[in-house]
Amino acid sequence: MNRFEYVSPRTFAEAVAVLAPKEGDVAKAGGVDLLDLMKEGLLAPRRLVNLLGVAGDDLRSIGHRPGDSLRIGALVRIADLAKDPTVRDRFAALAESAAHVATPQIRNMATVGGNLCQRPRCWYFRGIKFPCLRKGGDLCFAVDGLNRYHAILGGGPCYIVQASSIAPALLAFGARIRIVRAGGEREIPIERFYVPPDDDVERETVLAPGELIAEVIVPDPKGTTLSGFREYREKQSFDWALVAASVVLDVDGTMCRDARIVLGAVAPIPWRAAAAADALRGKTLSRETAGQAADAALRGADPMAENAYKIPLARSVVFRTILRAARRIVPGDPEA
Amino acid sequence: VTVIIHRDGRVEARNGAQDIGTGTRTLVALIAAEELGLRVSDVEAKIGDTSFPVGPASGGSVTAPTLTPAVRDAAYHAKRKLFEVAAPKLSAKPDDLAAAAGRIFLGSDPRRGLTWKEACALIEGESIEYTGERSPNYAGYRGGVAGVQFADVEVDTETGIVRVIEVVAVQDCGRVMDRLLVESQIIGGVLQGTSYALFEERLLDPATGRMVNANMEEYKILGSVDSPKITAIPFDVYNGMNNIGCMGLGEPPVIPTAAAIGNAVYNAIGARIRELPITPARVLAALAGRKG
Repeated sequence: MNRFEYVSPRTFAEAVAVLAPKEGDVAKAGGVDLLDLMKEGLLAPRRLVNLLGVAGDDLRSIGHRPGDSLRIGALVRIADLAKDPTVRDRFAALAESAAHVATPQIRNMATVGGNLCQRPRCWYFRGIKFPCLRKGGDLCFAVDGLNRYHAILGGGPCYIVQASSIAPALLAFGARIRIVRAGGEREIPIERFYVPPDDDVERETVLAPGELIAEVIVPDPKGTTLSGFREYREKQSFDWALVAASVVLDVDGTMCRDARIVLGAVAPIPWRAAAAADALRGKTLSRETAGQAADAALRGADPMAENAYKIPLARSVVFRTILRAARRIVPGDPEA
Repeated sequence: VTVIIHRDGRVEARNGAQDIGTGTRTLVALIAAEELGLRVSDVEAKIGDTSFPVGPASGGSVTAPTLTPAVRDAAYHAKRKLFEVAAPKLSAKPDDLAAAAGRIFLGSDPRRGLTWKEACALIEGESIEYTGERSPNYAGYRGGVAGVQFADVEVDTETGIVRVIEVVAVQDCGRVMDRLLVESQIIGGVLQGTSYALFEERLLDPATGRMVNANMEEYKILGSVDSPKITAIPFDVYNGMNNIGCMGLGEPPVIPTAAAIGNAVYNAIGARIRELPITPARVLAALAGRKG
């Protein structure tokens, strides 16, 4: 690991000013992925700007205005998001996805902003010896290499899977991200925050140098909204998801008025399964309609040599997560 | 192994072997204490230092059976020297003395005796010291151990995810010197066996030959949630023909676990998985093959 300077601004405004685009300055919140990247030799910051020293609660609190929105500060810890009573009650898929992040130790350190910005776990990207496309090279090693954990949807020319557990849930709830830079700010839907590899293969988000996530704004669900999250992984302790699904249902009795279904760990970005949502809209929720939606979700999947098994896994996770979200109105959640 | 009995009653047992978590230090103190008629806490086991007598490498499941007979030998001879020191005071012959419960006494009349400290105070000079060796095993020693394990698994046939619910491990192990250590060795073996049954795999990039998962994140090792309930049953057999009755136990409990899990998965889904680890991808492929 390289030598670096370390500064700890007292206010967020000061942090933003310090970070105004300078080559080699890197913001640090929980530092979880950052430490990995530095030890892997993928990042050699000249200076780390510690955000955890910033005074005040604005970036560390979760605020809820009923009928309006939920506002989550960028420095809210994943553990606090997972246990927040309002999030658990009204945004269940988000709380459940946060509760599945890594390990209790990491959830106590990692922040919402950091989780959204973490870099992909692809072993070719993480291996300094592989000059892959995402590191400015000219080859995706996964295409002819080891690709059991890689993308089955939306891949090419790079086949990473997006690493954040909470991003798909936020996308399903229609969240927006407020981004701050020296002398300005912008607010964008989280759907536009992530960059597919065919747009730009070297970045995962639109965050520009000098920009920081300030907060995530989630519109308060209208009417009767049910939601759920589920992920499958090889290890039940501390593992990355093979597939994950976040499902948000707007219901009237057992009729699905609207659905938003977003998959994690199957594509380079949080993957909106629009066809699955279409299959549910206007239908009575049941095991049968959940199954039809799950079939639709995987249409168009394009696996590589070693990851075709993720298709039945993803189908299953969509099916079961719809039933999980709807468990109060449809009996038969297989893991209830 | 060198056993030193100091004039103030302290006892040291020294050997260069390491304790890699298997309880070597405990066993050295335990055997010396048993031979000298003391409590384990009365013996200071000093190990892992090159200035001490040469010890076995910690491997091959032979550290305890290599070392402990030598501890017995050293402690026995040091005790004999102490008997020679104490015998005149008790108007007895060294051969007539015994050591137990912190006392040196006449075997024929246990009331006639000295406390351990009183006996040690008779030592001329600072200490009695004896370096013992490990003599060959007696006739009939059978070094090979046997074990049998039973696994209860749950397979999600939609996702291919396998959970190991419980493993019962019966392990033939010679004399049980310390039940906690024996059970701990068996439990450790089952955990490692479960881990390589379900998770562990060295992945080499086919084009470059580089290992892509050479870190503790991508190289998967089971964690607490993946750990089955483990019932360890030490099976005390009289095969360890040496002055301890002991055989090695380090690695043998690892061997049956993955096979037991593989058989349990077969029993659950009716399809054989012929490669480890038993991943969701392999289970789904096996299920598809069964149907096809």
